Amino acid sequence: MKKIFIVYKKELLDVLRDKRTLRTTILIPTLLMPLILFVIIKIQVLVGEHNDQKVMRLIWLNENKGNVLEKSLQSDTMIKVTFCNNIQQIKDSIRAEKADAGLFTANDFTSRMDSNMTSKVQVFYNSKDDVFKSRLLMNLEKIKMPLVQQRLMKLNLSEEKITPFKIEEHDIASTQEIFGKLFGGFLPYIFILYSFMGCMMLTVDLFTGEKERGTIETLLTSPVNRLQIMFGKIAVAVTGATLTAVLSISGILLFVKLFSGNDIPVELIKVIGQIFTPIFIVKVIVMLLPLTVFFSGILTPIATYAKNYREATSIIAPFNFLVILPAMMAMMPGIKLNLITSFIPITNVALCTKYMVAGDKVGIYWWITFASLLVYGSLAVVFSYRQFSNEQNILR
Amino acid sequence: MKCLENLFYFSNSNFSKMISVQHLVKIFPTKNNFFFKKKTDESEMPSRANSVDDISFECKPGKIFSLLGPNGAGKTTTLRMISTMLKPTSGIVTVAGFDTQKNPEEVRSKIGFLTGSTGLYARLTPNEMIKYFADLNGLDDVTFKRRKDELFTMLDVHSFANKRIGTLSTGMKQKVSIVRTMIHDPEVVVFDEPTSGLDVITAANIIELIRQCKAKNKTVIFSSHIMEEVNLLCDDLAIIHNGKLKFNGSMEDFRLQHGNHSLTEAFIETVQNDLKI
Repeated sequence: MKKIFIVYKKELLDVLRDKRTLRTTILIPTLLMPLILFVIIKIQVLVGEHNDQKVMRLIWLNENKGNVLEKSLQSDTMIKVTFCNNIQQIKDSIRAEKADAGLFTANDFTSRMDSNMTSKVQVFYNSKDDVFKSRLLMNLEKIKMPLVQQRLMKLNLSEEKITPFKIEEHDIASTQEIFGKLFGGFLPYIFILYSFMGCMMLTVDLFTGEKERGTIETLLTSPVNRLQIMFGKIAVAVTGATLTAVLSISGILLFVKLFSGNDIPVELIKVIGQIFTPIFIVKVIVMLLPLTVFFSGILTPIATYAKNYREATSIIAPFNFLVILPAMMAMMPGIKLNLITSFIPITNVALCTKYMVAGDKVGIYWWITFASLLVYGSLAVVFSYRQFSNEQNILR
Repeated sequence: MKCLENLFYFSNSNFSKMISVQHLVKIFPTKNNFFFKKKTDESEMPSRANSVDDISFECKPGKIFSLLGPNGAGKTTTLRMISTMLKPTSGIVTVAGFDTQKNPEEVRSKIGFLTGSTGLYARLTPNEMIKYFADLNGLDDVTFKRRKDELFTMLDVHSFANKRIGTLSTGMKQKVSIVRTMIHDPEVVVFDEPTSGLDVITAANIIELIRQCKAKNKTVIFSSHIMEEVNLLCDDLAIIHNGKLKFNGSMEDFRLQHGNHSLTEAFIETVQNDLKI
């Protein structure tokens, strides 16, 4: 144990002095995360504002001049109407991005309306960019509402008469649950990915780096056995990877703190405060520890085998998908935390976190997740030890 | 060179054969890649470079034993088996009475290992690195401070003891390597092509170190393919070629066997005889 600690202490000092490792494990998750979130939200806000302020270019095939729509739409300063002669012209203009949306009203539009019949308004748009579709539909709805009221009055009918039942929606989900649904899958995906990245950088530096720098012979001829060396190094990788994951969460919290009140609603800030309780953080870290051991256990044989950093990263690259896919599974709708999913490594951590973010109880599944990860982590370490003890790999 | 004097304590080993190598064989399995492993075809192995085929020799305290052979002869493989980095396929190696396979940690605590290409931890300072190896060797604080101070003074390391190793010159790095090798005062010192790739002055430091080890009754085994070094230093000699032992005896006997020939000629003659066979 003492020798494991000696190796751990030295390796920790060594990696803390490596700029590349510090960049990946500390700087990027802490600062890049808030920056990415800030840029995404800012872009969304700017695009939204830009679209709201943009004048809609409407191309219209109006066979019924002077109808009720014409007056309303033409008086709207946010709409610039251009009339055309056929439907193909509407389609071509929208495709060529010369118009944002199109309308077609037939010559019987007013007469049908006057006879209390339903007139048809055809709306044309490109679903690739349907911001203007909703704006146009809202405008049409605004015109339609008073017309409906007028008809009802003419017919001496109240609105209730034509409404057999009214639907009232009551969403019983708390703001935390809504937040959990929106971000619960995304959050674990981010920190699982970061912990894998951190683990990868550190494991490669600790094992392959030792070979690349030519220090492995010195270490192997010292009175410390390979198991102690490996444990010391894996402990550093686990520390670093867990720290990376925690920092990535801290990065998000930092972002919330910095930009609260500006672009983030106050209610959301409250919810985030409710989610990130000390118990939540402890539960996540405790799950992350065996997960990072598992990651390190998978990566150590590769890092031991590789002669240099380049070879190691080229072998590890496909493993990224093996981490991304199970983490993404948790984001899919319908995938629930149950007896099966709580045994699937990575997916189980992502689902547990998603549930905890949403305020749902994870109960026994958290324990199954933790215990199964312990088993997978231990098996991975045993496998690592076999590879690390293999002289063909270590002195390759 | 005087600075290296009194670098070590006298070895008070009771073993007349500090290193004993008996019928040592090493066969390397066929190379494989990470995902696909091939099965070993042992019939091909003896001809493979770096394999070792039934080698026996002994090294005594106070003597410098040289392993001589062309590139790929199996010198490094042999030294790696002595220092427990590699496991022999068959045969027995003992160091200070400890079997390298049964008691590898005890063996490692008795040896110091140095090669010309030994790497150092560039992000650490000499102080930190030496402390690391002293800790691994189980040196107590008092002994560590005394040994470190003596070695640092003798090799003039104090002036750069707190600078990152990555910023040091080759000569300075080699001095740190020497301190690292000798911090635990090993009874056996293994040098694998110790001067390979070094400049003349740095190489001279290593030659002096080997001499001092001998003077302090330590057991020295070193591999080289530089005849001048061997001629200058060695007491006993083993010539390996294609993993097989071609000569094992004292330097004096080797010179006698080859009459007026120079060491280089004698070496080539020994190796070429093998080629003719």
